[in-house]
Amino acid sequence: MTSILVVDDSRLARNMVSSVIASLRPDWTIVTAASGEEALEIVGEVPPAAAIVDYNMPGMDGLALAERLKERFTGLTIGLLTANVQDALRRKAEALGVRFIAKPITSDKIRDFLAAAGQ
Amino acid sequence: MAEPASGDPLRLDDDEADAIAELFNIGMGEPAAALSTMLGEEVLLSVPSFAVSTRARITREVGGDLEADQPVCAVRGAFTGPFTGEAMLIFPERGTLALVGRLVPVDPAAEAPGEMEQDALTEIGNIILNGCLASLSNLIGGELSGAVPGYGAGAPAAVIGSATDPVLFVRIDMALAAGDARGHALFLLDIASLDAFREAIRRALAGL
Repeated sequence: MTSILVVDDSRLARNMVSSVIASLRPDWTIVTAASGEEALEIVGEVPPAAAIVDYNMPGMDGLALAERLKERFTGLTIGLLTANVQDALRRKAEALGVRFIAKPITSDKIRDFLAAAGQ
Repeated sequence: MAEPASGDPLRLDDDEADAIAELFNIGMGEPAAALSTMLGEEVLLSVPSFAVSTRARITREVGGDLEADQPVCAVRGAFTGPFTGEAMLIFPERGTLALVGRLVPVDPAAEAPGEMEQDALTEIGNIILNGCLASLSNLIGGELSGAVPGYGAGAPAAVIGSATDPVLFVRIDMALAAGDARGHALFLLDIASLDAFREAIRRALAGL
């Protein structure tokens, strides 16, 4: 069973990302969380195929979460989903080996991300 | 359009509240990046918060945050379209000098922004506020037009107001990475246009 982790404090954003993934990969299980803390709690020990995490969240931000996820799952492909398209953030994401996905989300952006993740 | 079950026309359900915050979150992304490029420095943004509030309460909250009711500098502009209201960018005087000091030479002895500093803040406000309104317009598929924002300064109550009529209030805190300039982008929406705003959000969600 292939799963993908989707983390965003906005329910609207979680629903949008989930519905795009469901249309592109109907057989995948989509695991959603509303915060970094919740994501780390529910993700368990089985590596997901990929993770898509929002940057701007209350509590742990998306980069901190990406770092924790990378510690747990070496080589996990992570996309940082964010409206914040500043170069400084882009560079931080690149330094962590995290792909940048600019909001608002579209089907094409998720398709490109999954293709880059080799999925 | 049917009102929420509570009968309170000001009450937004959780999905509407979440959608408003997310639309403003997306709306601020591009203009903050534009500002960051202009300043050569990262601009930190908070998660948007929103509430049904009053100008008097917003003055207390935001004024209290901004260095204990010291004078503030603001760039303000009305916007009209599917919904109407007022957008403001507010920084305390010292923060304003630090912010615009990235763009224009500021007299280190200056206590309050002079004409050149006011012009620079107005341009920053123009980029942030009209940029955000432009992104929102695209998201909701309607045109929101902002007046050219104007500069104002004074005590928070003089700038934000002290009226006690309800307004829908979206707040995004902004700070330069160096930490010497912290302010707020505020969007005050007229309650009379709240139904139009709800309708615009529904259209935006349907279009995603």
